[in-house]
Amino acid sequence: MGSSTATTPEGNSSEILVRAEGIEKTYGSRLPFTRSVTVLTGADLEIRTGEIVGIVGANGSGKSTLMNILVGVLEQDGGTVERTGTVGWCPQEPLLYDRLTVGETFRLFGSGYGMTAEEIDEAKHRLASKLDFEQYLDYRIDQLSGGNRQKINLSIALMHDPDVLMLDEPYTGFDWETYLTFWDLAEELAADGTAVTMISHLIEEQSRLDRIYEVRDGQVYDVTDQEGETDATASERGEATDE
Amino acid sequence: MNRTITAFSIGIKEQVRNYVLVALLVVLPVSFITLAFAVTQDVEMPVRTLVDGETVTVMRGMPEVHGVIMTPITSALIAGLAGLFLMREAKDTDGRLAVAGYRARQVIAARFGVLAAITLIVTGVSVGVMLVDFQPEHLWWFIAAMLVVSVTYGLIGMLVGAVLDRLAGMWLMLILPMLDIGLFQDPLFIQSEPEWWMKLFPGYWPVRVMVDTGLTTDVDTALSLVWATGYLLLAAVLTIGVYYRATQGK
Amino acid sequence: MQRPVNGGKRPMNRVRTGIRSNVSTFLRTPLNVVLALLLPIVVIEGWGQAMAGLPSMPTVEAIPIDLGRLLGAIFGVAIIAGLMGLAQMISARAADRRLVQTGYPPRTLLATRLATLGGVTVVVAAVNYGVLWLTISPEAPVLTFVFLVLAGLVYAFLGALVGALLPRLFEGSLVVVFLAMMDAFLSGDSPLASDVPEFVEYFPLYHPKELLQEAMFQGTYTTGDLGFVAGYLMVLLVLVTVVFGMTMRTSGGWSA
Repeated sequence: MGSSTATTPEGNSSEILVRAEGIEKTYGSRLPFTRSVTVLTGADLEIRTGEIVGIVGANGSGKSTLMNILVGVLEQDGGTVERTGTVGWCPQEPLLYDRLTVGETFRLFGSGYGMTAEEIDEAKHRLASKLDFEQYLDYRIDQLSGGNRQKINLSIALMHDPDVLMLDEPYTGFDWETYLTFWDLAEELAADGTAVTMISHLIEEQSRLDRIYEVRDGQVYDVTDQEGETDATASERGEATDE
Repeated sequence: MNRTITAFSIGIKEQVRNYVLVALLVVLPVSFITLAFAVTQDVEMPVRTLVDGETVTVMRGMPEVHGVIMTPITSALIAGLAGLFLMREAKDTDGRLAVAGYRARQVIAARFGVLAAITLIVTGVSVGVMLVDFQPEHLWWFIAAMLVVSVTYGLIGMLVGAVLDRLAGMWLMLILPMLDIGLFQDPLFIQSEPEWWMKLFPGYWPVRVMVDTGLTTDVDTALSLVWATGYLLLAAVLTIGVYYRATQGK
Repeated sequence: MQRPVNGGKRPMNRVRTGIRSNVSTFLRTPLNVVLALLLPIVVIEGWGQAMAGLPSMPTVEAIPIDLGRLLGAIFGVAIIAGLMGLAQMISARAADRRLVQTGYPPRTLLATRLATLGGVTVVVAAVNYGVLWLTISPEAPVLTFVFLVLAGLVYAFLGALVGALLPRLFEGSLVVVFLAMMDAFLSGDSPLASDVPEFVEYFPLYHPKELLQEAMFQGTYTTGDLGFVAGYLMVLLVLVTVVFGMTMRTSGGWSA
């Protein structure tokens, strides 16, 4: 079994906030008669303050698994995760309570974060204004469109000003304006010292990322210096090395 | 036709790979029916049934009467819940299949096929366990009535699933068979002619057949089986209609 | 990153917030609320009418229709509470894990769930009791109500345990439904089961039924029965807590 620890940050500008070493994960290994699927075989990565980090990889490569382990909602089979500071997690599916209103959702998750009523209200209005869902504050989650639900999903991750943000395809269903707003927000937060980690599969974004990790064959590779490369552009890389 | 078979076989595989479900479909009927026989006193009780067109009272051992009642309750409960959850799942996902090019009737056929398969398994297991302790006089008539009541309850489960949410649906699909087959149609409880409203329940006609073909030497309730099948067909028509509306309104 | 200074104000109370959320969620499916209040009436009368055809039994000092109503009341509360307990644990499991990730302690979350469940059980028991009180006059009214609540709580916790153990509502419902059926027809004073073997004592509603019958028709109770029920509830509570804690820490297995 792996282990994970969490401590409080000290404000060093390039301090490592999340460090993962040798992460291993195989699904289904404990059940009889099931085929096990090995997803990660020794993944290492580091996430520092003020960085915008992208995690890329083919479908099924293990990106979400890795993020879930980094966040701490999934137990790894081997390896260690060290976390410093608070974490805000935006899962791929909006994991929310359908029959609560947007306002009540903020209150419930805010209480989980240990925020006061005033802090929750302030965060709620700030994010509602920034991401443009103020008119939906009294709507139930199951009454919202997919895009709006995702805005709430993202806001819950941001509301407590965490030190580390872990975002799994955070802009699913966003319209273009909201997508741009999301990037403004991410860059503001990074400038303020937050480590923003996101799983992304959009090639065009890679210029906005400070660091890119690719999950491939159960391992994690720092591909930052090979900017613009994914499975889709592997053939281009082949051409580039001929030069 | 290919798409129907594909959808059906995927639906079956989905259920079969669910080892917990398969285990439950076997373990629950076996424990319930076995226990029922184990705790029943071997005394004789008066049972109302039809003989040569007349309603008479015959004396039968309680374990035998148990066999006639507990077995259909078991399969009705499971089939009803299966129908409920199949419909809920269909509401959530079958709209997408339609977009993918499946025509409504192919999806419907596949879903109903899965329900039929679950019902067959459960009926088979329940009757199998029952046969250890009790042999009906006319086995195949008995089984036919079993199938009719189980499928009818499966369809009712689907109807309920289209209208109510899962929690309310579960409440209903437990209470309905329990009251219907367990109480209103149970010859141990209903010693005289049942009230008119008890006859409106889905279990009335099939259980009449099961009491007759299980406990008496002649088959006098063939017509009841016809009525029971009519009830089933009515439920089927309603369910198909409701299913179509529930999954197309996306 | 600095957290904003909160001027010494206390963070929002998690228990209160949690219970409010659970109650709001339940009330917002009004059809469920209506059914939870109406179904008991159907079950009580149905059971009563069904048993009305029976001859009086020597073992119980009650006419069959009244006994039927009492049994209907017990099972009405048990079914409603049990399936609700099941649904509470399963329907929001993924969202619960997310809530726990934010720092909300699993035990607190479970406590709010069980508290809401308990509250609804008391209300449903009250409705059942009301119907009973209209048709039969209990010898010991307060005791009857309390024991009805206890019967409901046993099934509520049982349903919650099954819900914590099994990942899907369909499978969970099969288990709870069969337990209820076995309880209904195999344990206790129904004429179908007279020669009860010892293990029947351990069925969830066996002792609550004894308690209720005595309170209802004789105005007394047996401390042994009460002790058993209290012990049963404690054991269930411990088991639910342990299993719930485990499901909140996932290893990605079949407990999706």
